[in-house]
Amino acid sequence: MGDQLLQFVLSGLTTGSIYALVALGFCIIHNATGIVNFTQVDFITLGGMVMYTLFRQVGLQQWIAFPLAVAAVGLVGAMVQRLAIRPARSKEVIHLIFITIGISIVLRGGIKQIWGKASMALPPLSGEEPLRFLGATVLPQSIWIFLISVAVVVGLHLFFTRTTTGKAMRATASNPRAASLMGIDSNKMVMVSFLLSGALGAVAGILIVPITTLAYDVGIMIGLKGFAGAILGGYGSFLGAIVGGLGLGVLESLGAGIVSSDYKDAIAFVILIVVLFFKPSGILGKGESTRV
Amino acid sequence: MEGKGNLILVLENVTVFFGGLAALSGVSFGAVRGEITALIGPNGSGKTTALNVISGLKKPNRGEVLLEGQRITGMSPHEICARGVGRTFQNLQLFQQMSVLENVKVGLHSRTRTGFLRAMARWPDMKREEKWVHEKAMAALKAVGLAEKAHWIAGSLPYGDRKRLEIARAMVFDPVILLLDEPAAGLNIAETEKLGEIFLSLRQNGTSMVLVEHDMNLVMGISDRVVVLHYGSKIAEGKPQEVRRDPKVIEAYLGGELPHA
Amino acid sequence: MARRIQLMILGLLAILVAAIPLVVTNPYYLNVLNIVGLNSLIVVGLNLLIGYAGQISLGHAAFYGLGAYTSGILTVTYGWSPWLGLGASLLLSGIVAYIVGRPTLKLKGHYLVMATLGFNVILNIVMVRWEEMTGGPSGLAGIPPLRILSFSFDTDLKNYYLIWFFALMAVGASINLVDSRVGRALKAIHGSELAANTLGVNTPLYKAAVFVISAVTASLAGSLYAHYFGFISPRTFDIFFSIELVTMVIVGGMGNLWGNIFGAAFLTPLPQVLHFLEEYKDIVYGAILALMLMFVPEGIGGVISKAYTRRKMRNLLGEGT
Repeated sequence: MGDQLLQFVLSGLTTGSIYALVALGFCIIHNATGIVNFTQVDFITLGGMVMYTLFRQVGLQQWIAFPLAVAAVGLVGAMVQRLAIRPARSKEVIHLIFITIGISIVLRGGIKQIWGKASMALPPLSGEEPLRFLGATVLPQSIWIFLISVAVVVGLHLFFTRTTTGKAMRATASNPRAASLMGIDSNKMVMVSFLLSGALGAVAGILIVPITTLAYDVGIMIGLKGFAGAILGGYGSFLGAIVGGLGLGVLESLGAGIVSSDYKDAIAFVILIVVLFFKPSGILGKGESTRV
Repeated sequence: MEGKGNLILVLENVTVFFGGLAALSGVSFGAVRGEITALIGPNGSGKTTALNVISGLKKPNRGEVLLEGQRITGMSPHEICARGVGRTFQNLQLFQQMSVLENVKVGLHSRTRTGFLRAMARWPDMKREEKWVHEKAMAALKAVGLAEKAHWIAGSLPYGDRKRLEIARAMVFDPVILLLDEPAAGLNIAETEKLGEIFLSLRQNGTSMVLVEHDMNLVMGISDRVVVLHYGSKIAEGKPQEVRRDPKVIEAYLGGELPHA
Repeated sequence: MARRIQLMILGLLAILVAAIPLVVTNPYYLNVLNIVGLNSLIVVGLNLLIGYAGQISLGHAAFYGLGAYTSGILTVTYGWSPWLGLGASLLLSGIVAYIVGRPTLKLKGHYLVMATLGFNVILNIVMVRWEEMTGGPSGLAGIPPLRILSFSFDTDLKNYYLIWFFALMAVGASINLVDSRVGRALKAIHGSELAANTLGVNTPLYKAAVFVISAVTASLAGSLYAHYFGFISPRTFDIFFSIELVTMVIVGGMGNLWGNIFGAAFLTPLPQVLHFLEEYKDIVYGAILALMLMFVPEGIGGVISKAYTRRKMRNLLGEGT
């Protein structure tokens, strides 16, 4: 039983890392604009798709294809902001959210057009042989997921604390008026936030797809659960996204393993609703006003 | 306090914390029935917080609020309204998209009964009720001088009219006590005088009022009693002329004199 | 728009609706019109919620489904009479809506959106996984049609009149509701919750009531759907349908009843119309949604009503001078 538990926790941490990455994507855009960006789910899918094309069809090495795919999806993210969010006549949150819903439908349709409806497979980054670790089995891909996620999080942290753009983004998030008075172009900041969330989604997609499968709608569930993780940890907070994402992954895995695996998908949403009903500010309990 | 039995509203030792800051600290005062009680003090002294506590928008950390001897602390705003407490807001909370008349009609919500099912089915009682609502609302608009603009959209009114609309809306249901949060802010002398007349006529009809104001002309001109707050504590209370001369009060207003009445 | 005028329009619409089958006899078109009717029924309730109480729900497909499945299960598995089943499903949906609604409506903005979305996803998963009850992903079949004595609503035409009867009744009830003390209170909540509270409106109760009403109309539509098609499956009741519903409301104009019905009438057949664009259906649909919101966020109804208000104000001011 102890072995089983460890197994559940480890697999939960794997999916949890993915959720954490997605949650960060939601978090960054929320802090910059106040909206929930539904296209996030398609960034995840696109990451897998572009990677597939670059790797399988263009024949690039995985290590080259990976960053290229991430950059490409980041660009798509920036384009979404530039072409759909910025020209919008109304800046009301609810309108913008529904614009992202519309764009998400368009993106998904486009993905269906380009890559078709059938499922595809993407090989893992290194081998397929599971490794043994303290009585549990771990896929090598899982280790890559941990490592790369940590690297991404560290990278983001450095970006937001050391680079000018990152600091400018934090300034805009915490006080847009003052920031613009200091010459920071808020439109540009929003575009960067979309770019980052596109990149994060892509990383998540590329990493998880070898374990699940690749299809035009693979991002939806992952995306929504990532959002649930963000809420669980405390919406709007960097650390909250990570804690919430990992936590959700583990809870989901334990729930599926111990209680029932039939309703596994529902677990994340039950947690979401429970959190929203009882403690909307999430585990870390920070208010809406906290920024990255 | 004179005429204790005649107090329509009492605050007992009310304390309100916002985070670590005490907006109100052990504040106690009373409003006598049928009188206009002014609540004054420099900015940030807790006047609006006091109104929020009375109207139920903020639950005090300590202390009680009594309306006509009954404890209303912690009740929800709509329940407190139903007991006869009306209020206006410092930064105007009009229903911008609704007409002037509709805004005032909402003020009669607590005195009417038609519910969802009856409204959907157009119950015959409703017609009678609507007629009554219409007449009372028009009367209130007439009292503040907005009757001709009854069908204007509230958001299109000039500032002075908006303030008067908010007052009409708050007084239409014949409250026992009316809480006024800086009703004269932004108005010129003529408009402020008009306002004073409206309040005096309300008082004549038996409505008690708590008036939060910065305009000392208005305060000195129409209040029966004045309560002074400073940094969340009460520093003086009494007749307007007494309070004016109170050294603590003078010092609170930047160590200078109170503006001339 | 004044109540009298709206009721007259409703009357005209009723005549139009009654007359259409005299001209349109093709069951395929009647089928589409029936779905428009069902969607209109849902949208009337949703319009109250979104437009007047100012709450967005991305989960109304769940109540649609709850109505359909409750009716379906009660009649197929337990042999209940369809009308009894319909009544029971209305009651169930109302109760569920109240339980879910009270805490949910305390949430602000996008939290509310996500909570309703989460609710929809959960219910949808239950529809798929609880196979013994719901028939799982392949759905539930053999649902009997509604009957009055020996008259069975078993054709497209008969259901057309049944569905549109309910839809038009709902529109009438909504028109009455909006022009009443309750409607004023709802608009007040939307305008300034703070002021509404201090003016005696029991905001939490009203918001919950509107949520329940919107859930019950959706549930009614669901039951009618079940008895009409005789077969239901989870795919009809997923979050994408919830999104479609809100789209109808937005395209028509939030809070604009006629706009929303137009939205339902316009968007429902759209996937069918775009059928020849079968390939690009999604893209076109999403593009319409995004573009509408980018450039006409007030919806078509909003544009018309703004023009109307401007004329009205001009007349009023003109009279003054």
